[in-house]
Amino acid sequence: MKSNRSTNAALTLTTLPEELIMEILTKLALPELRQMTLVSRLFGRLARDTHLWKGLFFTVPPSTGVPNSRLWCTTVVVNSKMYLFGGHTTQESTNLISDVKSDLYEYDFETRVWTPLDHEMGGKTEHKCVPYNNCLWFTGGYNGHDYTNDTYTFDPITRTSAIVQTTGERFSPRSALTVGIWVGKMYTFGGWNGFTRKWFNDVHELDLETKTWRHINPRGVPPVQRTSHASVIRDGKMYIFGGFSGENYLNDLWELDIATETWTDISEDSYGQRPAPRSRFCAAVYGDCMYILGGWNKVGYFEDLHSFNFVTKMWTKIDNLLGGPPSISQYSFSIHKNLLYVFGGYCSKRKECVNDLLVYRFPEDEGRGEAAAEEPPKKRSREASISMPRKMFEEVVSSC
Amino acid sequence: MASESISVTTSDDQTIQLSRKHAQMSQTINSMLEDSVGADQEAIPLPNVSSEVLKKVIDWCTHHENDPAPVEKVKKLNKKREYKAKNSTISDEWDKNFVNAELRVIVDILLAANYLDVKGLFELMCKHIANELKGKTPDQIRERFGIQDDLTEEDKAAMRKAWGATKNDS
Repeated sequence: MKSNRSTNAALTLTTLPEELIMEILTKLALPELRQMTLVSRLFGRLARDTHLWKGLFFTVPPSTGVPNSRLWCTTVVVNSKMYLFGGHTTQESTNLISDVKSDLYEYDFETRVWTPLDHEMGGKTEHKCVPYNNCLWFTGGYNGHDYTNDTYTFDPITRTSAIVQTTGERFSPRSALTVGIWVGKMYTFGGWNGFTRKWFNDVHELDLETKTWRHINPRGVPPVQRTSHASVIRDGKMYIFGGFSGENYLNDLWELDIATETWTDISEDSYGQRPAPRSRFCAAVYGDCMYILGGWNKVGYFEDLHSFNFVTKMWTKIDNLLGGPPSISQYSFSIHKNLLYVFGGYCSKRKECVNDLLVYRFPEDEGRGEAAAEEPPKKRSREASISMPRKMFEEVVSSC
Repeated sequence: MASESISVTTSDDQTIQLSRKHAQMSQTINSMLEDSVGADQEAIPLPNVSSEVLKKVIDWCTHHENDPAPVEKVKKLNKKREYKAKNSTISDEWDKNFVNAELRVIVDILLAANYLDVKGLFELMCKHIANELKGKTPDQIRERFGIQDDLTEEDKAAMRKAWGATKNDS
């Protein structure tokens, strides 16, 4: 084949390989990229290509009433509003918990206004929260004096809080555990107690209807004890990744089948590069994938975003052509529509605790299964498939 | 001992001599040379590059032969974590003149620079094309680059709705 390209007439940009067009597009500012989407189908697709956008976190422009900087608060979405509760700050540069927060905020995704809410719950940090029955369910954590094992609820509609009276065998007092919800039951795993210096690997179930705790003894070899790990629940299975065992930082991946109550170490049953051992990070599940961001391992902080696809068993480090994800730990995750929201945490670049609200758009090419998001994503409509939230986009554009 | 000039054969069957220094500015040729150390140097086939385009590439290499080797940039955190376009400023006067060519030639050089892996030249071509796209309406872009408008009015309305409309819409 001897095609002499130079004799071809009217050679246009559209004949270039797409990766070369992408290189060119990385040099365009947002308003110019936007113009490109109106040029042709090809450019429209490329200008919205996930390679250009994925791995990119946007700072939601600060609005009124933003909660103070903090570590390890919880953010949970109920009825399309996000609720932030608790967390702590540390003494200077130490890890010592100094100020345990008891404030509760409601965040409106549309108006971006934070509203403080009155309640009667005591302060908590390193606790966890799940949404159920239009209420927030808080459990475990450190209250400034003690490690706890109580459970509170807050009803955002009636704006009332209560301590949940439970029966059965609940977990021992602890913080930095993980909690997930599956079919009306809450599942807890791991955590630690800083007074007794014990790290845990036990599993407990709270039936949120009968308010009955049950200590589960799953079959199989359990994961090693750990704290500040991450977990997600997807399709009847709870997955545990990483954490700190008291001795080592971990990057193992475990599956607990909730129906058969069986642990399986699936660390080696995966492809691609597993993220390095770490703790103090979160995981979120969207579509077929689990996403984990940053964290630390005592030596340093991670500045990376990884996904694990449960169908293909593939780990992928999500990079883009424009810059990496933020380098943070001890933040909180929540999902609203196809967006991942990240609040607070310790930013290693700024060497301080922050109160930024970051947003990350999940890649569109990873499918939209029954996500563990509070609201199941709607069927992909024409508009949804090109959704960069308009307000966010306009403000990003105007700040260019 | 390695000779000081390298022969290459272009897509139009021309054999062209270029200096080892220029040849090594192409990572593609450089690795071919490394693979054939000690072997008799036969002309290296470059089936994707025409002699016309290769001469342009050699011109650029000649002008930039004493440039410092490109440093692998460590990816820095984009502090504000906002979308930030890469720089597209062309500062070298000679380069500005070099890119003042027909689009057909520019595209061919871009493809050749990509194939030959001449990083500086590839960057220059990308910057130039990006600059050509800037500040133009979609209509002007289509006209400048001979792109067919295959979007329906519905498509465009959906895009505008998703991205927010501006006065430059065509």
